[in-house]
Amino acid sequence: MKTLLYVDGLTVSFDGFVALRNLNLLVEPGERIRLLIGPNGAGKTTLFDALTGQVTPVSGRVLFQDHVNLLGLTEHAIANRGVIRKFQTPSVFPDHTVFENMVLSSGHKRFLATVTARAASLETDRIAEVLEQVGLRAHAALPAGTLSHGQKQWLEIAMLLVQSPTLLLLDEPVAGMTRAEKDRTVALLDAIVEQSTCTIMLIEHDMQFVRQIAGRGHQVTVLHEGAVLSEGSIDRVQADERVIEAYLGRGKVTAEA
Amino acid sequence: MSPDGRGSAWTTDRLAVGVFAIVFVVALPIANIAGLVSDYYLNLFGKYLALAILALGMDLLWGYAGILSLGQAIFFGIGAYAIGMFMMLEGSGKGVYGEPVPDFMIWNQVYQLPWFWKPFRYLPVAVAGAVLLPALLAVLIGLLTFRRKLRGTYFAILTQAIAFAVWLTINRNEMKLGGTNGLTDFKSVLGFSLSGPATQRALYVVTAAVLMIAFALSRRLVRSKTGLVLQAIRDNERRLEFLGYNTASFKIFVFGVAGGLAGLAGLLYAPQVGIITPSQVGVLPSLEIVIWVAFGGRGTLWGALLGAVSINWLRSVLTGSYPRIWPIILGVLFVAVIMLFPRGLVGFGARLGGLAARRPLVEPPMPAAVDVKQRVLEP
Amino acid sequence: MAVRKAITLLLLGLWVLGAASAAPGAQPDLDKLANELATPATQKQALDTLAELDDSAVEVLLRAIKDGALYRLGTRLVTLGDDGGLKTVNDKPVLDDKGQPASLPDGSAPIPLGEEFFGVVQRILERFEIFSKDPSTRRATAIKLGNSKDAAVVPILTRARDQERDPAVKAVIAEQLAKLQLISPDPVVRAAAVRQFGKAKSETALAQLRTMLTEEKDPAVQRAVREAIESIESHVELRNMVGYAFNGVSLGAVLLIMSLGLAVTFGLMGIINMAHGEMLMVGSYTAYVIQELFSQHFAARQDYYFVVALPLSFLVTGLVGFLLEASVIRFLYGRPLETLIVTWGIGMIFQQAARLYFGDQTSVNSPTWFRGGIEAMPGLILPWSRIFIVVLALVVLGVLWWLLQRTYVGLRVRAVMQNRGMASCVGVSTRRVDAMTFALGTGLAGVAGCALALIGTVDPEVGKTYIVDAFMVVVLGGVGKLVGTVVASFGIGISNKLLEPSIGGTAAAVYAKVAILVAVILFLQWRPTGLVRQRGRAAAEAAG
Repeated sequence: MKTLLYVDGLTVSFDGFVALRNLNLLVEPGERIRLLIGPNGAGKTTLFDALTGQVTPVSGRVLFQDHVNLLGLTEHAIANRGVIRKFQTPSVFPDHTVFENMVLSSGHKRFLATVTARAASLETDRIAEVLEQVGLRAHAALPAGTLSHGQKQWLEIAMLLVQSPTLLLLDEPVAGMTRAEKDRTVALLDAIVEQSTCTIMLIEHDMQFVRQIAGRGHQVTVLHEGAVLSEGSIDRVQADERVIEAYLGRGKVTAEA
Repeated sequence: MSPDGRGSAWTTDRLAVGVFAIVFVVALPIANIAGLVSDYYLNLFGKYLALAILALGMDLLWGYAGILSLGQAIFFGIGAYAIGMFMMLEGSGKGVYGEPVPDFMIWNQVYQLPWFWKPFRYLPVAVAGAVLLPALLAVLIGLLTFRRKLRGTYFAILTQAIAFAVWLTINRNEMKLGGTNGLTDFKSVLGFSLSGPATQRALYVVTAAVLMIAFALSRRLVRSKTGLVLQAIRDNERRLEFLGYNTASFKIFVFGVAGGLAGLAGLLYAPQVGIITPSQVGVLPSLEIVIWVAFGGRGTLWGALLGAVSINWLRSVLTGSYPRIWPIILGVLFVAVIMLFPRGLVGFGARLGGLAARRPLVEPPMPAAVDVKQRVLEP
Repeated sequence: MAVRKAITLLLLGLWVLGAASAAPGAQPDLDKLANELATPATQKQALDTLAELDDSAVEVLLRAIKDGALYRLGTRLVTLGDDGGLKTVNDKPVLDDKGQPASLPDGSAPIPLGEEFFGVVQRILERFEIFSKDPSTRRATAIKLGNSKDAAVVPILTRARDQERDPAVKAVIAEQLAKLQLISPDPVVRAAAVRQFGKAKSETALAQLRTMLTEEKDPAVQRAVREAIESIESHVELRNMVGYAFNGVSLGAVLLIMSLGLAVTFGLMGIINMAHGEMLMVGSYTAYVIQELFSQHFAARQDYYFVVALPLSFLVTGLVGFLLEASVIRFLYGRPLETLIVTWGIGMIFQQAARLYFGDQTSVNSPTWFRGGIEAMPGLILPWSRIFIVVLALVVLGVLWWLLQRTYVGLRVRAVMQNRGMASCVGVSTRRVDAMTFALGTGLAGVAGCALALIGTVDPEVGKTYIVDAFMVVVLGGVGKLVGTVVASFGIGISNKLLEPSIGGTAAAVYAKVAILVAVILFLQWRPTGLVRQRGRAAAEAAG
């Protein structure tokens, strides 16, 4: 496998508004976290939408693990290939318990396999393990709707992790969290990097959080007006004149988003 | 809430099923034989219990999976017409005209039995057809809609239109299904006269037993992982797709199950009531089923049962004395139930009892994750 | 037209020459005829001559003798007018020796008409109704004379045709004249008349031509007859198609007005209102009530009820919608299936209440302005009421488009529908916009109901009849797109009406509906978002 994700000339437009403009992006197989930043409307979420089959691009292609073309696949087919996404707002099933949410995320997804599933196939151990990792094991029996905002975000990350993703797409995982919760999330991401093999692509506005993550040597990609503006280490990106220009009005990239 | 508390709730639930079975399947018929319950009331209850099966299917479909079908009465109608055709054919030749076709065909100058009537001379075909044909039709409609992502209100509108079209069509005499008058004047089933109290009692027992079995199977379904998926479809279908589920398959499945149950209900209903007409197959009867479920409490199987029995009892009482205002009462029920008691009788009762209306469907293994594997699914 | 007229004249001329016996001499001696008429022995002979004459004086004379107003004054015959004045048979006042209006001596008796002649006189007099002031009487008389197969009426018909100013009546008279020529003894005249009918695509002559086909001896005429029948029949077929299509267009127009309402409430707001059909019913009953009020209080201005009823049906239904939104629907936003059930219940209440109050069927009379219609093709009359509905639908469409796209109100509505939170942040009262938008949508259903009342009966079930079609229109057209709604309305309306005759039989309407439903479902397989794609709240809801 040469590349994990190869985005080639991707263009997306909505009724004439071009959200992604001939975007090129490459993620290597060994890479662990790729941070995506950029001002509002840069096309970050649209990129995720295109990767997960929610919008149909005008042109371009997206190759996953060298040969799987993600464009044209349905949402569930993409998920079953190991490209798993977390949305901006927590979208757990509020009426289901934490455990039930995890059951839904793990194990067989195909209809026939689900119908014939036995109790033993519920991967209880694996679920317990992941819940332990995100610190929700004690809350397993609670309806997910009763969790705090931060806990819901972690539950959702747990729901993604339990699927053993290859590529994990996180859209603003710390939005709305308290500083303490953000710090826990940083630790959680560190633990994921340590304990599993998946690659994480992460959209974030909170520059302090971005610096915390990027400080561990992860690459940062800056999107602007639907195209890649700059790419590299956080220091390099922050020094880039064009990036400063793009964030005009805020003065510097260092400003809190 | 402790896992122990849940365990006792489980037992209570099973106990309730047992009590229900004893009362309706065993006690009521015995009381009838003893003369404590009149034939009329036993028959009335038999009718309600058949309709409860219909409500059960609607509850799985709407209450659990959140799919609103406004065409369930079609499936009910197929079941009822299938058995109706069998009974007509058993009675044919014994009618006024002594012809080998049902009497109503003679009135329409049809002297040859239409081809699609012929298989229904055999009871196994009629019974199998009554359940499988609606299930297959539901699967077909499901394939045409769910796979093209026609959902929610769109699905409701389309099924409504289908129900409307079916109603228009079977009202026509040339469909050879009795036109507006429907199928009626059934005489016997397998040689047992339908007017005999013993036959009616037997039909009642079969209906009650089938309801219990359907109830138990439905209960098993909603507590399985498939049940979890269905409820997740109701709550957030898009999210489920991103988890990797092809939700269409699950929806087609539950629609098929609901269709089959509706057919089963029709199968048991027609011999007890003695008539099936197009007026029971249209849009309004389909919507009424929704109201039974909503009134009883959607998303709870008991709710479907309670709703079907209570509303139909109310209908028996009120249509007798106030036929002209019954539609208005029904309309008010539609509004009031949804607006004021969204969780129906069961939710209302649960609130009164201070109990949580909904128990987690899969037993959580935490915090003691080790020993729960065995009782995660249906214990 | 001019060619047809010329041919008719020419033919007439030929026939007149050919049948010279029927042509009267120069100026008939009226006085002599009147005297003959007044003499019982010669009365029959005089009537025979009079029957051949075409002179307005004949009418005066005959009417007078029939009404018992013909007197003998000295040697002259005079008629007694209603005012008591005496006139000669040439319609001149009768003066006495002193130049004063003369009067009848006491005891004068009118000249009697033999009882056996009353029928004859009546028939001759009826011919003069061709000059009546009422065009429909003239038309009816022309047809009666044409059917009389009496060559004697040719001169009066000819004169009537030449005097006629109403082109429609004139055409009828010309047609009837040609019909009389069909029975001319001259085969050339007959053949020419036949050809003229073929050219004029006259459906009324079809029966007579078919009879001729069996009776006609002359081969040339027979060939002409056959050709004419073919030509007329193919025309009738075409005309029927156009007629069906037009009925489809007017059905589509009603659907369009109703669906535009749905496009607002369902497409724009995402509210699925199953009582929309009952809102249409409210519109119809508003028209009915206004009509009844007018006939009780302003019977003289009965027609004007419609001028009041149309806007009022919009306002009343809109108000009902407003109250519905404020009391029920606003609590159900974001729960479309619950909304569906609740509104269905409300529909049931409305429907049954209407049945209890108004009974099973009532009907609204179109204002007299909508009687008749445009004759688009020979034999095809497009009723004014239906044309009005089509125009009304287009006007409603235009106004709605303008309102939504070109006004400040529309801007606010679209803002709220697209981004509720943001709109309320910039100071738009989303509650008011919701209520008013919903009222607008239901009001349109009321307008549709008022329009529908013009072409059909009003009954409590009317809503249920149209609601399924209307929702099909919205689904097929693509939610929230006016263009799609227009195309789908007319598409469903027209294909419905065109399918009906091709299926045939009493159940045609049923099977046409079923066929269209199947077509819609199959179409949605190919294009689940409808004819016109869109993005927005309703589309997102449709997709999940």
